[in-house]
Amino acid sequence: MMRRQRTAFARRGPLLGLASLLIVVGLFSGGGCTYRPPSETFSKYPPREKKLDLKVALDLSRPLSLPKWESYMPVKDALERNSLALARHVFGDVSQAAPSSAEPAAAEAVLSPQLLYFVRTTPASGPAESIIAIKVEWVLRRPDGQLIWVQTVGGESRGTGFSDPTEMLGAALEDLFLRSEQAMVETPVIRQVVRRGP
Amino acid sequence: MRLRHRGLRVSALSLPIAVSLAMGCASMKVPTFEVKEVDAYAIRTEQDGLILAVQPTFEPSEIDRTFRTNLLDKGVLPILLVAENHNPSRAFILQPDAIEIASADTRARASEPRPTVSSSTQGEVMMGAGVLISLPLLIAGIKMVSDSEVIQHNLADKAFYSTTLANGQRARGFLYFRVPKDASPGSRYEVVVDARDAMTGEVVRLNVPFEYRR
Repeated sequence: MMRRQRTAFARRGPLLGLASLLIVVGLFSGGGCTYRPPSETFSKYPPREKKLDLKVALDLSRPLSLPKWESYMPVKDALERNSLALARHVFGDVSQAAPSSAEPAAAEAVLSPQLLYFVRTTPASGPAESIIAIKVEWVLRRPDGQLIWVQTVGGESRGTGFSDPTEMLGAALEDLFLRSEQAMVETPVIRQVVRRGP
Repeated sequence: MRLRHRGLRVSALSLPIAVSLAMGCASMKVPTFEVKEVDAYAIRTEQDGLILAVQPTFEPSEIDRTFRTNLLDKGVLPILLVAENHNPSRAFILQPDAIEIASADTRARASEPRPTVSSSTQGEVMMGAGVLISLPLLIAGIKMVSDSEVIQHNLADKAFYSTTLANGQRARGFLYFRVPKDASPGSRYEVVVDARDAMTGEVVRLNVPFEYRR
C-alpha cells in the first residue's frame, strides 16, 4: 500500500514541480490577467479658495494609452474621466472638445493630456518591490495653437509581488492627478493668463 | 526504479526553489540621483535670465551608479541638463522636441526619452525557454527581467521631460545622446535648446558647448 502511494507520488513529482514553477512564474508575470483601475473618479483634491477663471476646452484627442500595456492595465478610460474631473476642479468653465470638430469658439484655452510613459516593473520575487509609474504631459494652449503652459507630471505607487495590482494602479493614478492639480494650480503662468486675459 | 527516485528528487528540489523564488530575491532598486543648483555646474550658459547647464557623464563608475548599466558601451552618452529661470517677468517652455545635439559636421537628434538599451523582450523569451530548459536559468530569468525593467524605468524616469519654468523654477533630466560612430576624443558638440516664451511665443535659442572625452 505504502509502496503504491510512493510510486504514484514519484510519477506525479516532476509534474507537480513543473506546475508549481509555472504558477510562480504566472504570479510574477501577471498571468495574462487584465487589471483595471478603480471605476470611481478621483475627487480627493485639496480644497482651493477659488477656481481659475478661464474658459477651457478639454481636448482628449492625443494618445492616452500605450499599446503594450492596454491589454494588461488599460488606463485610457480612467485618464479621460479623471482629466475631465481635474479640469472641472481647477478651472471655472470647462467644456469637452469634440474629437473631430474645431474647438469651441467660446474657449479661451485648450487643455490636452497625453500619456507619455507607463510601466509596471516585475518584482524579482513575491516580497520584492514592484513599481507602477505613469507620466502625462499636460498642454494648455490658446485656441490659435500658441502654447501657454506645458508640464509633464508623474505618478507612482510601490508595492510588492503580493500587492493587488488594481490597488497599486489606483494609487499611482491618484498620485498622478494630485500632482497634476498641484502643478496647474500653483504655476504662476496660468494665473498670469487668467489675470491678463488670453 | 531509478526514474521514480529522480521524480522524487525533482519534486523535492522544485518546491524549495519555488519557495525561494517567492521569498528570496530582491528587486533592483531605482538609484537616487542628486541634482545641484545650476551654478554648481561648470558648463552653462545664460540668456534672458534662463540659465542652462549640461554635464555629460563619461565616468563608467558614475554611469553605473546612476543607471545600473554602462550606457557608453552601448553608444549612448547620458547628458544631464539643468535649467533654471531667473527672469522675473518671463516664463519659458522647454520641450525635448526642441532640444538637439549639434556638432561641427553633423546634427543628431539628442533626446530619446525611452532608450531601449536593455531589451526586456529578450528577457521574456529567455524566461519562457528557461521553464523548459533548466531551473537555475528560470531564477536568473525572472531576476533578469525584473532588473532589466528597473533599468529601463530608471532611464525613462530620469529623462528630461517637457516643462514650463516660471521665475525661480528649476528643471532637470538626462538627454540620452546616441554618439555618432565617428566621434573621437576632443570632438566638439553643443546642446541646442529652443526655449519658448510662454506669453509671447518668442523662441530663445541657447547653445551649451561640451567636449566629447572618450
